Amino acid sequence: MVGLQNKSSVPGNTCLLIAFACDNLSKRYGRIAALRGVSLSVDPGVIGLLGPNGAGKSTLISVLLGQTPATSGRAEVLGLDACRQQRLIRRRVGFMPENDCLIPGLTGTGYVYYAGRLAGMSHGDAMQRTHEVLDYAALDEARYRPAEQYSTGMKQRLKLAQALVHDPDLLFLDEPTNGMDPQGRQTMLSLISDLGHAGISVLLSSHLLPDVERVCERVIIMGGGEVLTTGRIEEMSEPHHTLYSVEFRGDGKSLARHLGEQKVSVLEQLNGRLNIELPAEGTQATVFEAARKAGATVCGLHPKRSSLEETFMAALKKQGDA
Amino acid sequence: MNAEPTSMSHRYGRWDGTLSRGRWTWLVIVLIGIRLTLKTARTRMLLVTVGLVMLLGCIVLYLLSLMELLAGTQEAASITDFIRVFLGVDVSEVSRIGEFREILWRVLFLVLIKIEMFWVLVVVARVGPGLIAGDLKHRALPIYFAKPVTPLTYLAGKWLIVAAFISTVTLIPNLLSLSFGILVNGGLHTWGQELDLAADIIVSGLTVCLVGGAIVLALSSTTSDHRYVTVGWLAVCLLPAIAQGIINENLPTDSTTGWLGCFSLRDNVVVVTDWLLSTREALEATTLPADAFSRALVRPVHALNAAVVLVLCATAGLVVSYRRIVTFSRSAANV
Repeated sequence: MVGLQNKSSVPGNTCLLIAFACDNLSKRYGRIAALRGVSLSVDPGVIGLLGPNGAGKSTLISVLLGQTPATSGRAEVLGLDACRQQRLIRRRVGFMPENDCLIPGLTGTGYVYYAGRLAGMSHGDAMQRTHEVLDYAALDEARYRPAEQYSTGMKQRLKLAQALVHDPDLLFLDEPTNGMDPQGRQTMLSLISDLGHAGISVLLSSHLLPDVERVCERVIIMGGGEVLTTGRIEEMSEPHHTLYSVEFRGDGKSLARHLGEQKVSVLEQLNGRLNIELPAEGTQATVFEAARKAGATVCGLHPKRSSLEETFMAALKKQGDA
Repeated sequence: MNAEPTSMSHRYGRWDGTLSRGRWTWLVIVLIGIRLTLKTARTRMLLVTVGLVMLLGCIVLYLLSLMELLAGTQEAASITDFIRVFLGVDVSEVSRIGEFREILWRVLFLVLIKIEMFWVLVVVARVGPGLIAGDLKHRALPIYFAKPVTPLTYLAGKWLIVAAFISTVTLIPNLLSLSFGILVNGGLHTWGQELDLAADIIVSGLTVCLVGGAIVLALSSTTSDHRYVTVGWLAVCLLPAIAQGIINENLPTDSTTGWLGCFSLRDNVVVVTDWLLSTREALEATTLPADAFSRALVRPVHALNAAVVLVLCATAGLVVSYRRIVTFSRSAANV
């Protein structure tokens, strides 16, 4: 075998400052625009990619993998040009597709070994590494059985193993918890979280927002081929300045009436709690003043935090309105 | 089925190995593909039956060798009858059969290739249809195109799998039969004389590999259901052959020497092989009477026409399959 190249000597394998970046990236399929001027610069880490069906998530992954040429714009993955250095990119990137993607007749071991050989590993390295990643994916004795006999959870972990076999620096995971039971889902999320700690950047494309919320540091929300919003999940769930949850003792109806007189909107009235929205000029003191007048006692006043789902829905609504 | 693990038992460990540039990736695809295909008992059995053709070739070569030794004796007469029936060449009037060894061997391999074309039909129908269609059906393309595998590498790997199996039923048995014939007819001394024949057999075998592989891969890339591919392959091989039979029955021989005689792929392969082996010229150059070898000759068709049809079929097959694979590779993340 000639032309061996050390991973560390592969172009672009410098200190990972940016996992991937896009500059005004567009992709059209005839009249349909799958990506419209996507511009991103994503630091290494575990990143969630959210969006409804047809948002352009898979097209973005396809362009980043160098499979689909962009119509215009530029994309870089691990410092490599996605249009010109596809093969170098694929040596350093792992991809776990959404669908089964199995080859009938191959055992779990054979499947991962094959993926390793296709990535350019030698026979010995591929075999050794196959067992390492199958151990990691907790496919114990099952690895010697034909992969088509696996349960959904095992198939998902097998696909993760094949994506990891050549030890990529960046991993694209497309719906990795799809069809898994809660226990299997927890295992998969633990594996993804651990990969992040091991220094592998992960782009997690998923419809399951709690999964993204649990393992990702940052999130990209796409819709209609555009990036609607990006940012750290913590920042997205910053407390609202006007939305509050009021815990009280006393007459709820009276309190709601007095809050209404102070131009405070009562959004939801529950047993012992009110969800309210203060007017722009209102302060927390308004709530205490209304409680005093209603003869109620305020036990707690908590600013509401947006969930990722609310942020996601808000981004989509904003796009729809636009 | 084992249960889902409750917690992770291992931490991820990085790998500090080396990756090759992937120059041999096609070989990996070929080896794994052959291994997977041979897992089926029916395919293995089918390949074993190919040994019968090789055995037949060896027996005829042995008998020809025996005839050279027994020329002019009573025992040679029964062998002469067999040769007339099997090869269609009447050598009963020939006293020094050794002088006709070259032409008889060429006719023998032409006959063997005609027989082997049936095995090619069956083996390709068994092996080829699932090669790309299976990957499409099981959505296995991302495993290739998310790795540093180019469409050309993928196509080359898949084509070589078909070529390997076609070689097993044509090229390899013929070369082994030839080697046997050389061994029983004077060993290495004879080898030098038969180099041309060996080269012709190789070119003929590669032609079958190229055309058969290209057509079945093109069909395999058009659907994800391998049964349709099998039907398509059989249709491509048999329907033109039937049409050719009807044409030959109803038109005079002179009018089917051109394009009208080039419908059947099998016939075209035989015509090109006949041209490569130069059997017609060699037989006409002998002192044998014309009717002594009339049955041995293939139907007169311009070899160039047949070759053009085969080249066009192979080119079209490769272009179609390559274009389809490029399309698949670009949407591999979306399959």
